[in-house]
Amino acid sequence: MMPPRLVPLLAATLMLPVVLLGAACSGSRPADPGTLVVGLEANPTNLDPRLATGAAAVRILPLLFNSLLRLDPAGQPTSELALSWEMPSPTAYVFHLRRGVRFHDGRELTAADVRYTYDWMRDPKNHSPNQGALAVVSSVETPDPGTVRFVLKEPFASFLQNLTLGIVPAHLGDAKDFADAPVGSGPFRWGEWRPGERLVVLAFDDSWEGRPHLDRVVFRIVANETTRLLEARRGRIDLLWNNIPPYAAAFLREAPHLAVTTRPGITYQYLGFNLRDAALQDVRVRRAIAHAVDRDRIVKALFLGLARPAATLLAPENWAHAVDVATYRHDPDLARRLLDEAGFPVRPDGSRFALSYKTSTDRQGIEMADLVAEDLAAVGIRVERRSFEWGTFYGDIKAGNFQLYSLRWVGITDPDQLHYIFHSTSVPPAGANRGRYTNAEVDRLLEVSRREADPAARRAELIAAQQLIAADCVYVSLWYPDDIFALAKRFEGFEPYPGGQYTSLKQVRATH
Amino acid sequence: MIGIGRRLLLLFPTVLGVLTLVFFLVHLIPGDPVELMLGETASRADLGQLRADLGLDRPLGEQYARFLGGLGRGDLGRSFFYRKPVLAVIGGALPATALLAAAAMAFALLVALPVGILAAIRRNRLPDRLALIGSLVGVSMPNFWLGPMLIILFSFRLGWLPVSGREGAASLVLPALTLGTALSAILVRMTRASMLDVLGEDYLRTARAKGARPIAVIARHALRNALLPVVTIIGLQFGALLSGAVITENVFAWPGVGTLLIQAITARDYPLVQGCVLVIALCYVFVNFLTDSLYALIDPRVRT
Repeated sequence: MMPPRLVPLLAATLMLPVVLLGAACSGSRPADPGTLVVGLEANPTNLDPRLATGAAAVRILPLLFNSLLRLDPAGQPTSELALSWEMPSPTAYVFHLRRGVRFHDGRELTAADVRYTYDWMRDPKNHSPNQGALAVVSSVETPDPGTVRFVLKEPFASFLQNLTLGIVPAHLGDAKDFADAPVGSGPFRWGEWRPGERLVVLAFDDSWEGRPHLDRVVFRIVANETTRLLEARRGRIDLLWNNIPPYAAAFLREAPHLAVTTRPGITYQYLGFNLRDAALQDVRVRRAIAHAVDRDRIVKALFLGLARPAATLLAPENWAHAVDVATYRHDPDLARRLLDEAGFPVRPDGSRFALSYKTSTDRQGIEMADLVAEDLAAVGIRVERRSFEWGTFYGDIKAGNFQLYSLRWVGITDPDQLHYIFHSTSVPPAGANRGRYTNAEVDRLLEVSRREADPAARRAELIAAQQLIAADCVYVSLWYPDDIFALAKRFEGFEPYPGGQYTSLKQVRATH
Repeated sequence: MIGIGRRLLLLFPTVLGVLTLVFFLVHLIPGDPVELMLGETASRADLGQLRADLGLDRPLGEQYARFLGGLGRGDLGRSFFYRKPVLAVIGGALPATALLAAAAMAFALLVALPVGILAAIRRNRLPDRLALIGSLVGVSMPNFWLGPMLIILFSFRLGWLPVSGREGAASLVLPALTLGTALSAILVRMTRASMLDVLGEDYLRTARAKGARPIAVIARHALRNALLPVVTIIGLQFGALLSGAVITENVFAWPGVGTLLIQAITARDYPLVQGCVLVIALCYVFVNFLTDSLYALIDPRVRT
C-alpha cells in the first residue's frame, strides 16, 4: 500500500526536529570572570526603594541605593551615608552625611535628597509601604547640605532600623518612569530589566566605596525550583541564596564547581495558636501541644539536621535574645496529663478533640504539618491539615480565621518586632498579633522598652517580655533553619545577610 | 463570506462573557491586594485611602461598569504591583508566549502530519503500531513532568541544550517540545483516522487508475480532504496549548504571559489578571476564527 518513494520523504520529515535540535545545540558558554549570575525565585516587581515590597526587590535594592544606615551581617545598624549621628533629645536624631557621594548620573547626594525621599514616603498620596513605619516621624529638616535632622513625635528606641531605606535623587524621583531605570548611589548602577526574565546591574565606577570587583551581576528569574537547581548544577547560575531547600544541598555539593555553605540562620519557624479558640485559650492545652511536638524528629526528617531548635523569636545572635525561657521538651506523657487536666479526656473513638491546621501550598510547610499532625495524634488530638494558596492563607491568618497555623519570621534583627507581633494592640492590620494574644505585663514591658534610652535596661525589659511570651506558649517555637547558599568556586567573598540581602556582592571577586 | 461576518460578530459576546466571569471570580477569591501592596505596617487609614484611590471601595457592580468603560476606550487600567499600564506590562510578555506557542504548534505539525500519514498508509503494520503507541504515550505525559525530564536528558545528561531561559534559538527547543508533544500526539491520531477515511474513497482509486504518481495521490488528493478535521482540532486544541504554556513557561523560566498571570493571581493584581485573561481569550477566539476561515478555504462547501 505504501508507495516506496514516499518512505524516504516521510522519514526525512520525521528527522527534521531531531536535526533542528542538534543544530540548535548551545554548547557551554565560556564563563566571563566579571559576570556573576544569581538565580532568583521571584520577580522583583518594583525597584523604587520608596515603593518596593516583596523580598525579591528589597534584597537587591542595597546594591543600587545607599541608605543613611545599613544593617551589618549581624543585623546592627551601622554607618553608610551617615558618617555619624547624635541624639540631642530623646525625640531628635541628627545625621552628618558623608561628603562626595555621587548618584549614578554624577550629581552629588545631599541632605535635600534624604529629606525628599523621606517626605515622599510619608506623604499619604504616594501610598508607600513604608509610610506606616515612618508614622513616628514628625518632621525631617536639613540645617545644611551635610546634615539631616529627624524629629519624632515620641521617643522610639528602634528608630535607627527605619533608616535603612534607599535614598532617591530629588531631581529624578518625581519622574513617572523612575522605577523603569532607577538611579541611586549604590555600588551598582542600572543595566537592563526584562520583567519576569532578568535584571542586570553594572559596576558603578564612581562609587564612594570604590568600584566593585564584578563588572556585572545578572539576576535571572527562575521560578521553578527544580529548574533553578539544575541551572546551578550546570554552571549557568553562579549564586543561589535564600532558596535552597535542605534536601538540595547534597545535590548541589555533587557539582565540582560549586561551593555549598551552610550557616546558622535567624529565620524563626513557629506554630501559631488562635487564643480566642475555645480549646486553645487554655494555656495547658497549648503547652500540651508544645510538649507533643517532636522537634528533633522533624528537624532530622525535613531539614536533614540543618536547623537549630528555637525557644524565642530572637535568634541567639541577637543582642536581646533571652536564654532563660520555657522550652517545651518532647514529652507525650506530660502532654496527655495536661490535656486531661484541661478537661479534654480521651473519648470512646480514641481522640480528645480535633483542630484544623492551616498552611500554604509550600511543600515543606505541608510536609511539616503532616509530621506535626502525627505527633499530635499520638496524644489524642486529631489534626485536619488544610493547605491554601498563599493569598488565601495569608488573608485567613490575618483575619484570625484559624486554629493552628505555621509560618516563619524571616530576618528579624530589630527586637521591637516583639511589639509588632505580641502587643495586644498589634492585632492585624495594626500589627501581626494574629493569635489575638493579650498580656498586660507583656504590653507594659514592650511599651517601656520602646522609650528606653539605656540599652542594658531595654535588654532586660525585652528579655522579660520574651520569658512571659514563652511561658504563655503563644507560639510553639520550632527551629531556626540554617542559611544555605551555593556559590561558584570561581568567586569568593560572598557573605549572607540576615534579611537575605545581596549587599555583599559588592565585595565578591573572581578567584583567578 | 456571510459566515465569516457572523462569526466575527459572535466573538464579542464570547470575549465579554469570559471577561465578566473572570472579573467576578478574581474579586471573589480571598486576599486583599491593598494589604499586599502596603505591607504589614500599614494603618487602617492608609489601607482605606489606597483602596479608595484604586476604586476598590466601590460596589462590585460599579467597579465592573468602570472596567467595561475603560475597556471600551482601550484602557485596561494599571497594574497594582508594576504600577504601570496593564497593556505595557502584557506587551512585554506577549511576544515570548506567541513565539513559544508558534514553535510548539510548528513542532506538533511537523511530527504529526508525516507520522499520521505514514500510519494510515501502513495501517496495522509496524509504523502504524509505533505511531499509535507513541501518540498514546505523548498524550499521557503532563507538561510539568515532561519538561523536567527533557531538561534532565538533553541539558543535564547530554549537555546539548540550555536548561531554561530565553537566549537564542537553542533555548526554545525544549519548551516547544514540552508544549507541543501532547498536541502532536492528538494530531497524529486525528491525521491517521481522517487519512484512513479518505484513502478508501472512490476518487482516490480513480486517481490511481488514471496513473497519478503515488506521492501526488497522497499529497494532492487525499491530504487536502483529510486535513479538514485536523484543522478543526488544531483550533480547538489551541486553548489547551495556551493553558499548557502557563506550566511550560514556569518550568523553563520563559518570560511569557503565563508566568505573568501566575504572578498576578498570587499578588491579587486584579487589572493584570483581567488583562492576561483578555489576551489569552482573544488569542483563543482569534485562532478559532482563523481556523473556521481556513476551513472555508480548504472546503469550498463551507463558503456559502
